[in-house]
Amino acid sequence: MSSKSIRPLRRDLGAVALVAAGLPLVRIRKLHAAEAPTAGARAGFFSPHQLLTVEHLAEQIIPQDEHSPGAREAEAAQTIDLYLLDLNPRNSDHVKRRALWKRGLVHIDKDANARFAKPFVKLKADDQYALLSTWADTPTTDPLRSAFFAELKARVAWAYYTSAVGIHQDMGYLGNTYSSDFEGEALGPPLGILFKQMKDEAP
Amino acid sequence: MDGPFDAAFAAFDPKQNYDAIVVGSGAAGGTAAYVLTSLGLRVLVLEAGERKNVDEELRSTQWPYEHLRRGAAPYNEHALNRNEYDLQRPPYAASFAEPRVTSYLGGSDYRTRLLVNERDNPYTGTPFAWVRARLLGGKTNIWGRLALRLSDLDFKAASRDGYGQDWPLSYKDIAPYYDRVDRFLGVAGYAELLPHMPDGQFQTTPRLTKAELHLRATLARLGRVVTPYRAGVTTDGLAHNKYRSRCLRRGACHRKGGCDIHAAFDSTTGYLFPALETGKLTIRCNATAYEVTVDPHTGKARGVAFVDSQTKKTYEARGQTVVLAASTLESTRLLLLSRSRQHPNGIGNSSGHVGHNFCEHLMGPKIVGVMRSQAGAPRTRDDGRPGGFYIPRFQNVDSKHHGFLRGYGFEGDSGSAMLPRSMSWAKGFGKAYKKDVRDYAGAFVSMGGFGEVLPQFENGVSLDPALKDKWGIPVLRFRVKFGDNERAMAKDMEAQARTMLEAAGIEVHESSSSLLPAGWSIHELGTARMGNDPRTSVLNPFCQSHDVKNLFVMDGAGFVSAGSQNPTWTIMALAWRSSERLAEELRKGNL
Repeated sequence: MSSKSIRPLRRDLGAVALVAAGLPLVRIRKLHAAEAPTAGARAGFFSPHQLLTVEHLAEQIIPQDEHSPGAREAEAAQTIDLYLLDLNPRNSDHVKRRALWKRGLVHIDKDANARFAKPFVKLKADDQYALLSTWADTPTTDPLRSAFFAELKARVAWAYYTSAVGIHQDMGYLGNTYSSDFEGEALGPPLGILFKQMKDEAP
Repeated sequence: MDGPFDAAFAAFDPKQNYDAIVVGSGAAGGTAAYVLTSLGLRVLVLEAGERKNVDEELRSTQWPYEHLRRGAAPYNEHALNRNEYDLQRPPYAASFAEPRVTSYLGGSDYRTRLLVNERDNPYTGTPFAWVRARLLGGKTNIWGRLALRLSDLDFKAASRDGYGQDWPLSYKDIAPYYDRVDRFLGVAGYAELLPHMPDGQFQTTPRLTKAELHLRATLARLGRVVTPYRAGVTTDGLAHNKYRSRCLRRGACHRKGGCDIHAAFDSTTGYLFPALETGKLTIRCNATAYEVTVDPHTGKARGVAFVDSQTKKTYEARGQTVVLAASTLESTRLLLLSRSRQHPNGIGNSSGHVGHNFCEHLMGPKIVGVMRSQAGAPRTRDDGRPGGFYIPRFQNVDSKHHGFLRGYGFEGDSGSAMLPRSMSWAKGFGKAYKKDVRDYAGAFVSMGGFGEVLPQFENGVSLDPALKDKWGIPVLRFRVKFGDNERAMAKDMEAQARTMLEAAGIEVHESSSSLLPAGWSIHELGTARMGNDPRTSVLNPFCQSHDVKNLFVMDGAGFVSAGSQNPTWTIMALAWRSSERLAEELRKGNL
């Protein structure tokens, strides 16, 4: 939870993709300059504290285990930060989604302070897990907590399983390469022959 | 863009009288252009859209993390969703602030620029998800690849159940043309020797996953078929076409629609480049056709009037024959737009049937299952193939179902993919969630139905009396509604999907019978149907106008009924047959 764990967004790969797509990289930054919060040196959707909170939440959703790194290593929080920054301010669904994140992050700290007298990022990992469990089990009668948890989980999963860590290290995905033949076993006889046999054998 | 054959893209000459003018460069237009030029005709293709560098759009091998937005379209675009189609009425773009609004297929940065902006191309009437791609190659650039044949179960459906009309042709009439398309473009599949799902000239078939083989064995006992996706993909390569590579089995084909090595068929590399090699083909891009012009003395087609999509200058191209292949509903729109003294209701419309008897495939009913025995199985490269599996129609084949007429098929998929299907299924969070996602990533089986929508005279399109598109051309007004047959069929689709997965011991995670909006399948058919009687049909069995001998409509507009099979391969077989006929009749002086 040191400030070291806030890494700058990995813009190099994105920039390559944008240039490949013929999109002006500068334009995206400019478009958002006016509405982006001025959080220190970087202009993201989240403040540094919010980004750190999302990083901790994301690592709780998909933690490092003996098999593979977790959401922190996959930079899921940064991916979500850019996703939210890039939403359309004129689309009411997008505006609502941004608001849900901001409100959810305020409330997670409120809950953390009420139970442990500390913000979420200062809690021990076990306490973070315990607190988040109460949100995960929240009935839909508590729309903020249940909606935020659902959004958090879905967005972290998306960010993680589309990352290099998720695709290669965790999932061990085998595709997007060439091969001499299709995977799988032979099909057996044509079904038309089988059906004819079945018909002939029927009483 | 620049590319091969630049000269042929700049050679349009308004003073020339072409042997044939083909409107549209997709599946039907590509077929016509290739067959006609290979028979020696001088052909002009008019394409409303640009010539795009499609490979740069598709970027088929790009990893999600190499893309800034993980493959999502730019934020200032809006892709319509299911609810918006259902709850609002077209023109849809009017409700949104974004400068660019696309059909539901948008939202992906790999596809969005291949689709039209709904703002420039509006329509009115009943809710309809109308997917259009105006660019060289048309919708074949985003084609889903399932390459199926119809059979006499479809062509002679009316004789069997009394609804509607038979096609004026039989399977044996079209079979040789399916063969030509198969051999020229390449199709992969497994010959099953089933009368109602005729086999093709197949190249090496894709295979089935473990779960699919199990489902195949289970359903075979019920007399049903699970067969590998019959894909319009060359898996062995094509010695006669240097613009297309053989399928590399590389996987990541989940971004369905588009293949930047062109193993999957698209009209540009499959037909247009070979046609350009003949030296007989001229292609005029950015040419939005708005009228089939008529010779005032003979009443025959004289050519096609078009507006340059960018400069808005108008032109008339002259031809001895005109082939409409602009996509089902755009061709119909052109017929209706082409009013003259001789053809007051639109050219080729003396029957009054243009714009009627629309049909398509309903979508929506679907199922997702989990095969628990596959949990924790070693990872396999299940998506290294052009598609998953196909379950052909089984209702109303050997016996009569009393709830509805006709039938449906299922397209399905299973196994490991780049994005684990288990990520939105696994419960909770933390280590247990992560392990479940990993263990069950290859255990999912899903499928969705495509059901025959009956043609009804009332269903179809007409010209909107007021609204015009960006180029000042009157737009279409839809009147398309599903009936009781479609609703009953959708219920049965869900019930049968559950029965089939349960029979195979696959746990049902979710299922639905809810219908998607009309148009969703992108299988618009009919509205200028063929037939033997000029009073009740628009075209003859060779896609030739009953009224105007030198006018042909070669896309899906001529379909009499939809069958349950994806239509592209049939559209191309019919276009091939009709093009040979056109060339022969022209040579004989009959046009």
